[in-house]
Amino acid sequence: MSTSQPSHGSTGASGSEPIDLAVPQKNSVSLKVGMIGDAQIGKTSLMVRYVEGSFDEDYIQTLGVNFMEKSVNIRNTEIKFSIWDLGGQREFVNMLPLVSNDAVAILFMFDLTRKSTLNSIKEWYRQARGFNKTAIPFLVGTKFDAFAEMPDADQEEISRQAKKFAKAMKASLVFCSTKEMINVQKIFKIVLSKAFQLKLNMNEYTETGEPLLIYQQWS
Amino acid sequence: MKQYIRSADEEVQWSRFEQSLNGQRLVSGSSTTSTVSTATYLSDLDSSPDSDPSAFSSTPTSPSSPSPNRDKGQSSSQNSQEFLRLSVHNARRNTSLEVVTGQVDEPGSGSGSSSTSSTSSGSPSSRIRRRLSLRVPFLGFNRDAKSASQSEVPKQNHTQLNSNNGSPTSPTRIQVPKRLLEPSLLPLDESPISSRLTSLSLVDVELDETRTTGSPYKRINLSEYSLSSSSISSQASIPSCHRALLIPEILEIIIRYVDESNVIPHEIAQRRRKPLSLKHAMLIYGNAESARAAWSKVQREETTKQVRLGQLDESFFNGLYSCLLVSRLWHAISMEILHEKLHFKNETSWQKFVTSNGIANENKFSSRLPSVLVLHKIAEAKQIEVDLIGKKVGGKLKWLEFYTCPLIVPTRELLEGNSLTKIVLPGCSRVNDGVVALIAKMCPQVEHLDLRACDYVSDRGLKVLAKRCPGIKLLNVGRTQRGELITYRGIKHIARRTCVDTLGLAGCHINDRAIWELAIHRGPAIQRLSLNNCQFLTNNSIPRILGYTRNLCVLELRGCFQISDMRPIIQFKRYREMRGHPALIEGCELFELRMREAQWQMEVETSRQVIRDCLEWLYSEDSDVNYEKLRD
Ligand SMILES: Nc1nc2c(ncn2[C@@H]2O[C@H](COP(=O)(O)OP(=O)(O)OP(=O)(O)O)[C@@H](O)[C@H]2O)c(=O)[nH]1
Ligand SMILES: [Mg+2]
Repeated sequence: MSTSQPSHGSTGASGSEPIDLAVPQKNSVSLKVGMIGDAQIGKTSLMVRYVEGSFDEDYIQTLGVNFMEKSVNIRNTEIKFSIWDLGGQREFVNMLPLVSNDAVAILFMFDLTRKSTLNSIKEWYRQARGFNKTAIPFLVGTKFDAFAEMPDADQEEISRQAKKFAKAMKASLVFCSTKEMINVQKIFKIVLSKAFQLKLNMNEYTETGEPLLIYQQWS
Repeated sequence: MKQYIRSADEEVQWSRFEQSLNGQRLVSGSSTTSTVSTATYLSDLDSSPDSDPSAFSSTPTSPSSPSPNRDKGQSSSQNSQEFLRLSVHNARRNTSLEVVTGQVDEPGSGSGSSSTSSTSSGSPSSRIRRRLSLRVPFLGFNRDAKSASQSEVPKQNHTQLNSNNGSPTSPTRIQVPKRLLEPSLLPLDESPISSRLTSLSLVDVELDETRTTGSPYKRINLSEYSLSSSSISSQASIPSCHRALLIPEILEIIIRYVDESNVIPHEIAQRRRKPLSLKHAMLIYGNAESARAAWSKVQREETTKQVRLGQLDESFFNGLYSCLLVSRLWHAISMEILHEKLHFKNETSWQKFVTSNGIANENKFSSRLPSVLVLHKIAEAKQIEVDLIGKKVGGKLKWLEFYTCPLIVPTRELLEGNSLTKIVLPGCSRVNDGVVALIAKMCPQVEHLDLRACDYVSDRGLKVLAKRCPGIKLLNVGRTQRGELITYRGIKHIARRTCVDTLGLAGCHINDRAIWELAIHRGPAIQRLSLNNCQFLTNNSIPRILGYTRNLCVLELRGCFQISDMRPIIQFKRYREMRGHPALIEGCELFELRMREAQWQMEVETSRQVIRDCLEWLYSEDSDVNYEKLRD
């Protein structure tokens, strides 16, 4: 039952509650991250793992471009990563601009267990830079769990090469394992800290045999 | 002015008119007056062959080529011509009328251009401005063999006309509803029209409005027009004239349509006021380029103002004036329509009107009383003249405007009739509380009352107004003098008793309490507030009440120097922006500067907060495997 109050004025416009203008609005930070690299190295897996937390052993080839969003809410701020993942087959290279244009960071990814995928980085880097010269570069080696099983000499060799590449690219270097959840979230934390030039306190790993995490050199 | 064109024979009129189509009269006309309008009559197919509609139709596929003398006539005319083209098409039971208005631009050498281009034959560039199609079902009673055999052709012609859509406006189609097609209403024989059209009215006419929004033309509402037997005229003997055009009501629709484009200029609510200086423009627009553009536009406008107004006046009523020349019936109807809107913009036309309708003339003004009376900047207009005219034309006015006519005030007769909703009297310095009280008494239905620079109007006037006119939506008592006459005491009543949503209080000595009254009593209804130079307003009103007036879309605060708490104002702006209805809040240079500073401050605070939150996330624990622990 509702009883209407006799209105003061002739039109009944009175009595409506004022809105509170001082209610703080949510701040929002939005970052686009591109992922590129050869086929079957684990790009899509990394994205799905970070956004949804799940991991699948089966390989499903990415046709064209994948896109996912991950929001992190912290107090009054929403940090939103839009992650763009390009299929590694050469035929999708024409969609490279879609992934790299106005990305804040580009993850150049390779499979730690296949040296050829590291060598491809040169070409990926050259092409992506053509579209976006300002994106913060990352060199990301995947499948660290499998890599750790490889002979020490091979590990030594790949690590040495990767460091060399990262230096040339002025990129942060991360070895990660999607499967074992090693250095997955760290990648995105580094992206944010680099984008806003915020100081990070995470330990770096620089020794062969460790999941390399080198991010302080080029800031 | 009231006399019909006297002619012994209507046929003479028609032939004169036909002649004018051939261009001869046009040429002579255009040499004397700067703009000449022509009315082109396209006869229907029942008429004589030499008025073949296709010759005038603006279609490329016109089967017959235009006659040479027409070409000559048109090409020798130099000016651009307004035209009204009317075509009637018979098809079975439907009669469709099409009215097209537009402009023909004549280049110097236009001959030999009867090409297959999409422009009208013989005239290289004809711009169709508007088009009206009327379908009149009950007129298709001509069942003789002649019209039946030709009933296919007009259809074709009709579509051709419609297909010429080079114009920006698309056709407006008016259809008479099905139920008017009752068999009993359909004519079966050749009995006089009047006997069959008794009290038929064109109600609920569907109007298929396909025009883009923002078109300056209003909707045509046909519900007002009723067909009754009484007024069917007996002038049925004009040759080559379609019957449809002999029914005054149909003719009226057509002429009214022509009149639609004769918009009496009225002040449009300004979206944004001009910047006061280049620096001010910089503060408003934020970047040098658009600021400079806006500022130079202001300076340009000052020099071209005069010219623009002049041009506007020239094109006025041209369409209707040419309708006066068609025939007696056309003249009569056009005259009536002309008399419905009285608009005077110079002393001469006002004087002429006063003389012809003053004491000397005992006649009634017109069969219909005007709904509009506008006097624009007629500084010499005298009260005695208004008294006289008021007796003649008062009674049905909906819109009364004396725009800067300092010597006159509205009379009782002008305010009579309970129909006035819009009264505009800016700069009529004789308007005082007495006049306002008279308005309040005579026009309780008034919605729009503009009393800008009516310096003698005071709180007492407002109180009476508020008491008698609860329907007021717009009230403007802005002024530069005698601001002390309008205070909280008057506004209180307006806020409590009326449904005002737009209020002009520039220069009034209102205080914070007045604003609070408005916020509390009118709150969400308030849309526009002009508070320029209300020097007594402080941070205790505007910055505090914006939460109540959530629909406020224009707020003018120039010269309100005491208002310095910008934060709530910025928050309000953001609130409106987020909802997709940005509010325009205007102030002077100092105000804009304060806004900028506050905005900057708020942005700094926001980014500090963002950084703090981001850091908190960066330093927080995550679900990555802790490699150090794994190693141990
Ligand atoms: N052992 C191990 N396998 C992984 C890891 N990440 C991905 N994989 C496997 O690698 C295969 C390829 O993964 P995807 O993410 O689909 O590869 P992609 O780079 O997206 O391939 P394209 O879409 O063709 O470019 C899948 O079978 C994954 O299960 C990891 O960290 N460790
Ligand atoms: Mg993939």
